[in-house]
Amino acid sequence: MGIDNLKSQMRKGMLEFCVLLLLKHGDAYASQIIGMMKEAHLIVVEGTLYPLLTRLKNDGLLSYRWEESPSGPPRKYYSLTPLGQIFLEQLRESWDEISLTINHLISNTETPQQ
Amino acid sequence: MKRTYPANIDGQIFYIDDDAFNLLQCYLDELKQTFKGEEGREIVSDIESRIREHFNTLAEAGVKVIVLADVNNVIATMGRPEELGCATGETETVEAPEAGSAEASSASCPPPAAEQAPFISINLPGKKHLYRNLQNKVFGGVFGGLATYLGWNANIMRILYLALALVTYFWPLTIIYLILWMIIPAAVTPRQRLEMNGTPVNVETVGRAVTDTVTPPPYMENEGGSSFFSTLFNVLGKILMGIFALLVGSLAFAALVCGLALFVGIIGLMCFESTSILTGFNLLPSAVGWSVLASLVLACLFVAITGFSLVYGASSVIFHTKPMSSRTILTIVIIAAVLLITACVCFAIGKPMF
Repeated sequence: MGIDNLKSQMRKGMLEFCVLLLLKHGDAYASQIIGMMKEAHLIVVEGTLYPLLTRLKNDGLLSYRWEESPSGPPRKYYSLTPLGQIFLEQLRESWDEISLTINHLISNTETPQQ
Repeated sequence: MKRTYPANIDGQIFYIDDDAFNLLQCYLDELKQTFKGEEGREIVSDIESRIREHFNTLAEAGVKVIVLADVNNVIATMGRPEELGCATGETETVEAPEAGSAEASSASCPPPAAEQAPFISINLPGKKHLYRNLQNKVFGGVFGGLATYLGWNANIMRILYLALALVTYFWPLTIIYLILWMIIPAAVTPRQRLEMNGTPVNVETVGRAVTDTVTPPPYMENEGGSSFFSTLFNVLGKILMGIFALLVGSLAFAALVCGLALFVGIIGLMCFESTSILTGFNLLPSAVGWSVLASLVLACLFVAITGFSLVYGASSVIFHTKPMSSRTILTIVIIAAVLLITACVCFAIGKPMF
């Protein structure tokens, strides 16, 4: 397993969390989410997002509604369901734990060297 | 100059050229293979909708026709199916061989691809389809296609065929060749050319096949040294084709005229009951029976129909007009066969009356 592979695995694990976080701030359609994720360098190819959104929706964490758009056909607006919000809270907690552990490890291993 | 189609992508019309259309269709097909079921359909339609947005941006920027480069860009942006397939997570078990095949195909070395073959359900690399090879043809590409399919040298097969044809008085093998020509489909689209060569059909290979059609195909170099034979066969082929078409054309035309004349004549005689000529030929219904007469009429029709289709075929070869579709040919063959069989049956029934 190369370093690139490991990196992409790490990022992949975070994707669901990121999508839920983005949608917490307000509803969005797929292209907006793509825009935000690309800006944050979270995804490389756009197609990655669609299976993810569909899976989150089928798991009941997201729901969508059709809304007219000024140009072209109607768009799918995704929003968090109550279940999704609970799920996000749990993810948030476990993220805090992970980041605490990792930061702890980083500072522990770095101090003796300095 | 290229053909351009209006394509409906998620409810919006785009003008897209031939190559780009093929590639995009292959991409969407491959996505459908990657994402299956109800969920998969939704994913693919969402992705299609995003592709529409990308094309729409192009259209707003003043692009009139979507070309290959645009589709390639979109595929690069959206991601290749094998990249996306990994993201679903549920297909963890399928992931490993798919990733392996992607590596193998990008490195374009056949042995590892062959090793991966049992794992991939979508398109088995190495599994060839029999097509007529229009890039390596003398007449209809039958031997080119067979050679590609069997992995032999087309020119050696042609020499063997010629030798066999000379030994067997030419006609039987010619008829076999013509039948093969009719029943083996030609490899016209990039996808068919890939299937012919046994290359797995995916975005990468279709893209390459589309761009490669302009450059000389690789197998010409594989047969190195035999280019002299290729030219020889081509020239010989052209001459033979011309002679053959003229011969068949004139014979068939004669058959058509004779068949029609006999058909009309016999019908006319029977209708107007002018029995003198029928008696002269000893063909009076009372003498030979109606069934024999009917079989004669049917046989004449058979000759006329066969003659007509041969005239049509020969003229399309000589004057390069549009040839008959294979479906028309099949219909004609069936009609002709039915006519012939009925004629034989009628004759057999009527024979005891002699």
